[in-house]
Amino acid sequence: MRDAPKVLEGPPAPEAELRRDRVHRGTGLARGAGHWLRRNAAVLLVYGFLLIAWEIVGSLPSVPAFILPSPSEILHRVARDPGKLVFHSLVTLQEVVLGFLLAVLAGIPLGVLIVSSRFLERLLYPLLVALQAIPKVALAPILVIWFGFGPTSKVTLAFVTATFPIVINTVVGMAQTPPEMIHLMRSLGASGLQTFTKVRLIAAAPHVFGGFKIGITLAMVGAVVGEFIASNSGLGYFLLIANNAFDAPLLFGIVILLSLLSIALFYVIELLEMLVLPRPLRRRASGVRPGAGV
Amino acid sequence: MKLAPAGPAPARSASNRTPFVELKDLSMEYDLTADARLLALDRVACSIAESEFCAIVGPSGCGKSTLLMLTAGLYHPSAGQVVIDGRPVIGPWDGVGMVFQRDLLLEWRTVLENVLLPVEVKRLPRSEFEGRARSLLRLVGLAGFEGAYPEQLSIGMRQRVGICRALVHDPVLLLMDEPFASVDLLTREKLGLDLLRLTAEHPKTVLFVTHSVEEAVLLSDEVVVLGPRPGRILRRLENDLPKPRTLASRSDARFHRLVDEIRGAFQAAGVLS
Repeated sequence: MRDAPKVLEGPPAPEAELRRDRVHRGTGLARGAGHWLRRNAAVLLVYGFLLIAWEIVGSLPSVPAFILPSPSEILHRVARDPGKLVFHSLVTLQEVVLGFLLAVLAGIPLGVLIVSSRFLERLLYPLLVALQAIPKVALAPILVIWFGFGPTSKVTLAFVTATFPIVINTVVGMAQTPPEMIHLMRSLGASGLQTFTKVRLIAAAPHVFGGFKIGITLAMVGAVVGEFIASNSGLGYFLLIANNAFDAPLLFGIVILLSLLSIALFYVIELLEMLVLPRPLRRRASGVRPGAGV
Repeated sequence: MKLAPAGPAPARSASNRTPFVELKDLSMEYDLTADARLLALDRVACSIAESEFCAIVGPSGCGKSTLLMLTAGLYHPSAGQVVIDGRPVIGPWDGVGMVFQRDLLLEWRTVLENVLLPVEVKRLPRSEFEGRARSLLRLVGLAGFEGAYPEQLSIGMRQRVGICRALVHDPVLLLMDEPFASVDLLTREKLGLDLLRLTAEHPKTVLFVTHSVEEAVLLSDEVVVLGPRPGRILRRLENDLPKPRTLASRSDARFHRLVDEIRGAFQAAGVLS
C-alpha cells in the first residue's frame, strides 16, 4: 500500500515534514536489518514451514526421489558440481542481460515513435502485437537457422521476448502527460525536445521501469527457451542434460536456480529504479519500498 | 512562431483604454470526422484593455477554452485573428502565462522548481528569477514550502503554485481556464482574492474563463458573457463593484445586480442557470 499523500494545511511546517523524512531514511544499517526482520518475520516463517513440509514429504519412503526430491537432496546434488552450475548460469545470464539491454535500446525509441506519430502507431503496433502473439518456441528454430547454435540466437530470442512489455509500458507512460501540460509547455515556447525531456520522459519513467521488470523476467524465459531448442551451454541446456539422465535433484536444483536468478535480476532493476527516479515518482512506482511501514 | 514581426518593439500602451488584446471576428471550427464539423466559436469580437481583468463566463461547451487557446496562439482560428498590442498572433508567443483547471504540477519537482519551469524552458537567468519565484510564493502564503513536493500540498495550495508558475516569467497576459473549478467553494473564493492581490502587485492583463457567475463578478473588471455553442458574445458588462474586493463584496448590492444581469442574459439565450 502506498502512503496517502500528506496534506499540510494551515500554518507552514515544512521542517517537521523534512525531519520526519530524514529519520525515515537515515536509520543505521543494523537497525534497518532489525526492522526488516521484524516486518518480514511472518513471511519468513511461512516459507520456513513450507520448506520443512517439503523436506518431510520428499523424504517419505512412498515418494520416490525422481518424483519429488527433498530440499536436502537437491542441495547435496547441487553442491557436488558447483563449477558447472556457475558456468552455465553465467552463459544464461549473459544472454539474458544482453537481450534485455537490446530490448531497452529498441523498446524505448519504438514506444516514443508510436506515441509521436499516428502513422507510425498504425504501422508498428499491429506488427508488434503480431510478433508478441507468436509463441517464442516457434521462433526459436528460425533464429537458430539464422544465428547458429551459439549465444546469438538466445540473445535474439531474449531480446524479442523482452521488447514488447517495454514498448507497451513506454507508450502507456508517455500518455501520462495530460494534453494541457503539453499546451502549457508550448505556450512557454518549449520545443518538442524540451517537452519530451523535461516532462514526458520523466512522467513515463515509472511505467518504463515497470516494463523493464516484466521485460527482464521474460528475457530469462526467452533465453532458456532458446537453449532448450538448440545449444551446447546455458542452464536450459544443462536442464535437458539433467532430464535425460533422470537426475531429478539436479533438475529441481536448476529450476530453483533459474528462478533465483530471475528474482535477482528483477531486484537489480528495482534497485536501479530507486537510484534513478526522483523521490515522489519512486514512491508511486513501487508499492514496496525499503523502510516503509506495511 | 511568435507574434507577426512588427517594426519597432511596441511600447506598452500608455492609456488604459487602448485595446491590448483584440479578438477580431474569431471563428473556430473543429473537424470531428471527415464530414462532420463543429463550430465552437462564431465571430467573437471583443477587446480588452491592458491590465484589465476580463472574466469570460458561459455554459460548458461554449468555446471558452478554445478562446484561450487561440489567444495563446496554440490553435489557429478558422477565421478572424487575435491581435496583441497591435500585432497579430500567428503562433505561440512570448509573454503568456497559463493556468488550467488541473494544476499540472510536475510531481518530481519541488514547489520552487515547479515555479521556475518557465524560466528553465525559456533559458532565462535562474539567479535573477529565483528571488521573484520566492516572493510570488510568499505572496500566496506558501513561504516555507519551497522545498516541498506537490504531493505534500492540498489541492488549493497546488493551484497557488500553478499560479506562481504562470507569473514567474513576468508575462504580459495571464490566461486562466477555470483555474479554481476543482477547489472547494471556501478555498475557491480565497484563491480568487489571492489572485487579485497578486495582479495588484504585478499588474497583468487577465483573461479568466469560468462557469461561475459569482466568481466572474467577484474578480473581474469586465465580464464577457458567452452564449451556448456555437459560442458568441451575448453581453459585455463593466464591473463597477468597488475595489479592493473582499469576501464582503459579495453582500454589496451591485454584486447581486451584476449577477442577476448575467443570469438574465443566459435566460434570454435559453441557457438555464
